[in-house]
Amino acid sequence: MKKTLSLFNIFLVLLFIFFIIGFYTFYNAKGTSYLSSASESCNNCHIMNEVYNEYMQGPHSKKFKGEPRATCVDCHLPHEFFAKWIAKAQSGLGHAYAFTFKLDELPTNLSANNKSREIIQQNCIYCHADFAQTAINATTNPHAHDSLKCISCHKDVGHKHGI
Amino acid sequence: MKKNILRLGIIILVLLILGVLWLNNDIEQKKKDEANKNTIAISADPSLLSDDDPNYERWGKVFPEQLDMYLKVEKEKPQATEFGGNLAYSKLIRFPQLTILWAGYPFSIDANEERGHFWVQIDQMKTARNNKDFLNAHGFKAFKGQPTACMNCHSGWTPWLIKNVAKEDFVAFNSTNYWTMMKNIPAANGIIENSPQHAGAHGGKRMGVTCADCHNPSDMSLRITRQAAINALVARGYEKDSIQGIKASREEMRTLVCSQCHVEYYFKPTGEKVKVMGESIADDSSKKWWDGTQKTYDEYEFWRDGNKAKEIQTNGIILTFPWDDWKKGQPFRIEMFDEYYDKIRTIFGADFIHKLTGAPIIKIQHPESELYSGGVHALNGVTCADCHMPYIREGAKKISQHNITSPLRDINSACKACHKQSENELRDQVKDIQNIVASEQRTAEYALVSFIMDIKKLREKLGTMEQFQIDNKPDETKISAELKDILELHRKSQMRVDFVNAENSTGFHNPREASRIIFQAIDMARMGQAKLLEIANANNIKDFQISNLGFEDIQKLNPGELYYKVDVNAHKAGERYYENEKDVNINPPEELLKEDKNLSPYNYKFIDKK
Repeated sequence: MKKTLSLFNIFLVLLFIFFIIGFYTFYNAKGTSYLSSASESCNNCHIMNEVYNEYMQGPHSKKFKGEPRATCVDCHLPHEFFAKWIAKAQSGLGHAYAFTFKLDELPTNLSANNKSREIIQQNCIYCHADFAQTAINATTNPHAHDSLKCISCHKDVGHKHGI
Repeated sequence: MKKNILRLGIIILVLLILGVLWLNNDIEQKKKDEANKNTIAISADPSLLSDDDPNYERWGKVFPEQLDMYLKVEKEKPQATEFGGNLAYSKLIRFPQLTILWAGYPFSIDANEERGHFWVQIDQMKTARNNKDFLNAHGFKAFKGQPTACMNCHSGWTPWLIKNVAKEDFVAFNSTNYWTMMKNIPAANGIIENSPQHAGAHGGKRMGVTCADCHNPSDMSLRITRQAAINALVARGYEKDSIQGIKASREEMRTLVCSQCHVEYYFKPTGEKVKVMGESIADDSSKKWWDGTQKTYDEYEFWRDGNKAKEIQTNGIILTFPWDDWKKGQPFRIEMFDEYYDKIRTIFGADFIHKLTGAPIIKIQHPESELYSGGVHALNGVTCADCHMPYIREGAKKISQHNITSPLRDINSACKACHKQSENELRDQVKDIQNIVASEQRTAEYALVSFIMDIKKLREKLGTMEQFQIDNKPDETKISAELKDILELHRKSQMRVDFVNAENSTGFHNPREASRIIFQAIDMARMGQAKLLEIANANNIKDFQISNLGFEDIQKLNPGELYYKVDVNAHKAGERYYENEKDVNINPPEELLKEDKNLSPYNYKFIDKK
């Protein structure tokens, strides 16, 4: 009985330590910043340095009433609540894994994947609907092979790299 | 039971804690990387660097990442690309037509694919083109040996030698014998004089292009160190600059530092005698070349057997770029070389007289700067370094690649900084351009070799006719006079074929200009053949026919790997010339030959399928 108790104590102490260093690691990794929509938090990891610098020079980062016109997540994540957090969790885990374990294999210049392209296209329309609903033409037909997207032409509005 | 669950829980917790600790450590490391991303600029101590010691290992202590990349070239397995790469296979085996184009010039014996800045000096010292006894024993009796001018771009010691040995006299530097100048490279950084290390590549006599060739020791800014490049750029309208060689923006310098060497050049005779360092072996009547004539220098990189320096007089030469007709801001045009070389013909008539036709030939060497200047990338402000030294990430640092190589080996870094297409699309596009230029190029080479063979044939026929004989033997001067226009066409056609061949991008640096140049070469070769028929007719030669050689005919000229044909020095007949270099002068990869076979005539069914 005594032995079990001491084992239980060890367990409790270890659990306590785990939570302490767990919280510390979360803090150290600026974990809370990922709950915000601030673009700076995307630049926590230096893979994003070039893209972030270009975003800062581009039109979308320019401030309007103290807020940037569009942050990274405004273009890169869905705007609906659930879809946004599911996508955020998915890409967050993917990015964390790649940055931790596959840093050497990451290419110098990143490319958007298809899912990301879809989200970006939806978000162009989401914000620019008043213009887009009258301007969109048949070439944006999503079923057509290699159909044009908004960024096919407006490719530098967010940032130059990684399209 | 409960105990077991607790024990398991404890084990899992310990593992989890260790995992989180590791993760924490990894996060710390990456934060440190980010904080250190500009450390080179802060921690580099330029006082460790000076032009008195160009050894890249010394500079590499301050710039370790760059040195690592540079030295990677030494260890990595060389790779061929379709029309380049860094596998030093024999170009003469892959393209036997070159043995005909360069007949009478040492390149026709030994020409291998280049394998990067680390190897340039090693390869130049070894090439048969720099081996007087070998060449004299293998058909080049008159070969006098290479001058130091050949070393201008190959050795990282060149600026040091010009300053300390030639005492800033550029003509004296160029005019000295190559092997004599080699003997002056010092043993620095604890290297023992005359040791294998002193003969080696790492700071020794075989050290190739090095940091100081492009960078200023005080702040690592870009600079031009090669006098010939400065002279040529001044002639084009640039202004001199005491620190960076030429006044130019950093963006321009990212191309101009490459233009120090990646250009067409020649050794212009100054018409005067100059005093240079010679060797006392010239006075030792017991030292003979292979053919029994007196040795004037020891073909070895060290002073030995009592041989020592002595002052001699020799004909002055100066390394010169033929750029006077190419003004600043203009795209280069091949006609500028015609005009230039015609203008200086009394001073410099030819690099060599063609053995089969008697034409005075200008051999073009790697004119990358010229071809690139008018291309679409140059016009958009893209520099050499942008594609050949693209930025990569190392930790959080953004550094440029220093293992300068084909951009095709890292399309992501090289091309995708600007082009959004996928790597495959980009590769296909480059390959398509290169395949088409290569197809045109092969067509031009086959046409020119056909033309050369026909000139040779007509020369022989004319030589049998009394009016072209003197003392019952062919009068070569008279025959050449009869063929005057033909020989000019040969000279100009070959200059063009050589230009695109020597330019190391198979047209990619400027596909339109490359095609225009090749088109002229084919036109001239075929026009020349037509004129040969006219001359044959005019001289009543009835059975003269022009030839049309193709891939299969040309392959019969394959010289194979380079071997000693007779005993030379310590080498026996039958020995491989590159005995210690397994990767040099070898057969090209099979698939490249297969591709060449399908390029002219263009077999789209084969090429497009790949």
